[in-house]
Amino acid sequence: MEPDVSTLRRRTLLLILAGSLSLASCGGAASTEDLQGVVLDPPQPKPEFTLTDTAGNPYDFIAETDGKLTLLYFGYLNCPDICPVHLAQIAETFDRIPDVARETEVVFVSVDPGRDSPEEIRAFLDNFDERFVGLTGTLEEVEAAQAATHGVQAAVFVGEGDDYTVNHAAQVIAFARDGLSHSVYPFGIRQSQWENDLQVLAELER
Amino acid sequence: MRRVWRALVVVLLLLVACSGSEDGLVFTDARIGMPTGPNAALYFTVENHSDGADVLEGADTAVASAVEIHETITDDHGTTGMQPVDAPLEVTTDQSLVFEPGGLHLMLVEVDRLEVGEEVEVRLTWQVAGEMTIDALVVEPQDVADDEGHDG
Repeated sequence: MEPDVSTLRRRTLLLILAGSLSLASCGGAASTEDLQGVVLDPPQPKPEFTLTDTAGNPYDFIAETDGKLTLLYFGYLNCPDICPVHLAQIAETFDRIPDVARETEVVFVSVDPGRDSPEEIRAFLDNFDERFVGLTGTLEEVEAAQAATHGVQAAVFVGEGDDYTVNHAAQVIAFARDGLSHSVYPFGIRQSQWENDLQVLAELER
Repeated sequence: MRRVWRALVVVLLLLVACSGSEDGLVFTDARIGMPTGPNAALYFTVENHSDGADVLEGADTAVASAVEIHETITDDHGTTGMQPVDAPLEVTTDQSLVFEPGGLHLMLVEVDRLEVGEEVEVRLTWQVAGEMTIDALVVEPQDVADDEGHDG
């Protein structure tokens, strides 16, 4: 049955109404719907852990990052493929949106404390941005930090002697100012997506 | 009629030019992310325009103590691992083999300090073609990935 003219007109009106409502919601605060990373539903809390920063001071993750947009990444220095690309993309994004960068804490946790010294972690991170925080601890401590983080499995060491590789979580975990992780970033994310999402996350209402 | 002949000659010349420049193994996009740790990764694409398949057997360069063929594999949980590729890496006729971030790469072990913009000679050993040298450009770490070519 063909809809009559008045039904069509009503539908058009409804469409216009729906359109303006969605426009109104976009014009206000940013929404997790604007995120281009992998959105977590429900959002996940920050993991509780205290490790040691590259200056040798204790770093309580929840206390130090309280109220800040935070990016958490577990990696290791001998990793040539994925780790540097992730960190370099974030550093490049920081250069493009310095206002957001100033309010963002990037935390890199070495999952290979047997091989990565605090000095080496610092030198590694300085390749990207001197503001990036590097953390280490005993193997048990960094394993506990990984286990406490939603969606992360503790790194596994493969191979023998000094010539081993490390299987580790490949995603960067973002926490908005509300202390919750609304999205994660697997490898392959584009520069433009980082730029979009850091701005959206910075504007998410608390 | 003369115009048609002229066009034909141009097409023929082009064909000759193309086949001439793309014989055998053709390498493109050879690049190394500026080293940020003890190791670095080299990426490139190789197209096989020869009559038969070829197999990459190894590689070496003066700027690293060893070059290993590695592959990064990411599982369903988002855990990624890097492992040496033991199976022969074959590239068949008219096919290409792509080394790219998150997949295959040549790992330069204990690499020297390299600056962005520098060109590094790397020698690849192929079963059929023998030794071939490629020049890889050192780029910023974020520039190894084809920025718009990946789907998040």
